Amino acid sequence: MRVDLGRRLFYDQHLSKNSSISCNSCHQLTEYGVDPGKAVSFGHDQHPGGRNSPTVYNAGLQFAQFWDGRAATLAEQASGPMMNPVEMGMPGPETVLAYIHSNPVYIQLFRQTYPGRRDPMVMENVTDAIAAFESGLLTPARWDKYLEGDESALSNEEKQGLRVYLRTGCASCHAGTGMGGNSYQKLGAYHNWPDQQTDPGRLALTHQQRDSMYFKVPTLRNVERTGPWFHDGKVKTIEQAVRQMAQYQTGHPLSDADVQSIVKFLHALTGDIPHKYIQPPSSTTQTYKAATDHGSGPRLGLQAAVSTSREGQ
Amino acid sequence: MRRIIWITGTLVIAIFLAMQLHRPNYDLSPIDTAATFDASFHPDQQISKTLHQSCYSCHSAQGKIPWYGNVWPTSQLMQNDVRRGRARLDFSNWSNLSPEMSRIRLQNACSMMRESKMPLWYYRPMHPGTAPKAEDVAAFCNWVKALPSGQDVASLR
Repeated sequence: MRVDLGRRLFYDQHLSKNSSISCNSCHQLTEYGVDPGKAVSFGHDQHPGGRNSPTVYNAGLQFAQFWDGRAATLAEQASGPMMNPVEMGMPGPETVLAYIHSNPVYIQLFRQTYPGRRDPMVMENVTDAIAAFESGLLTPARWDKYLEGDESALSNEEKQGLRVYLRTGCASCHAGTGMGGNSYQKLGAYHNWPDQQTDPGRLALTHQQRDSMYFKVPTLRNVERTGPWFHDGKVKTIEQAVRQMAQYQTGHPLSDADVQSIVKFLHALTGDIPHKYIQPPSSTTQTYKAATDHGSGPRLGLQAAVSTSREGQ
Repeated sequence: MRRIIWITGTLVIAIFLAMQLHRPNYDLSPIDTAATFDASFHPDQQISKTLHQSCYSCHSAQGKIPWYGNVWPTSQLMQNDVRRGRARLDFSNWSNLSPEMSRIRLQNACSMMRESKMPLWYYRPMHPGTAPKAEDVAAFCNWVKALPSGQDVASLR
């Protein structure tokens, strides 16, 4: 139930200021959870975001969310973009809840999913449902079969790529269940990153100098499909991303052959998109229109919306 | 012939002296003690001593740089090793790791010491007494093994 509700919320454009974008707009589930080809995504009013949209797939495997880890959990993350002025731009939680309260489908779903509360339509449950859905956005890959002992899961070229990957030191940060997403690392650990000014990473969050240029290490699952790469989305090819990582993070410049070899290994980290799981609900917009036709849309304000929902209790 | 030797020698000395102007940067800025490995785990004395003695020179901001670490060309080599070492494992900056990554790095440290890949072969003769004893490595590896396990890959299924 939580997953179904979360899926509906994930696809719902009415959770943005002018009902123009949903979570799925910047984290397109049919495109490996990113905004393909865009360095940064554009918000409800077409303003560019500050950083590249990270993939939402396998986000549940990561120890923190966002590039700077400012949200500890998926639920904490879920409310961020909704209220971010340059993303979905909702003025505040009350506007989100006003819409939820105005929608008969949501009223029914929230009551079924979170029984026992007089008003289950609270932000805590909105974000909990989205987080429940996102927790299931997993893409097991051939790499997992290999780890479980299936030697044939990787081709000889991919195994050679794995050897280069390990020899280069990539696994110092990109290891574990998520092949990343489980530590913060300085971008430019060996050689200083060329752009030190535009985005100082976690420094902007913690205001501690030691966090300058530190970012969450991104997951490498599906990495070949989640470009453009890095926090600013400025790198347009996976080969260049591998080359720059080796140079700036490990101090080991790679030959073209080694770059290609690692890229081949990364291919083994790509899983299948769970098309059945991400099937969008069909009726969100219709039910919303039905609700607004009856005079209880999100523009009506919180009190009217709450009254509407309570009439059904 | 003597003239050539004299000119060559003078050039070598001049280059050597000129290269001393390039000062190494070991980034030994003050650490946040709350963010260190010791603060995260409070390991017992044997383990703490092993790590401090064998690893901290290159894998922390708490290492002591010997005098020749400020003399080129050894300064360049040491700086490269310390940078590379701290990029892979930094005991001074442990709070940046999840419990899973923390365990992975410690397991790697165990493997490297058990296989005598660390400390590096050329580090040992320059730093007598820093190579850990077998019983110290065993104690460290047993301690790592006893750490709570992280997420299992099977959770993806």
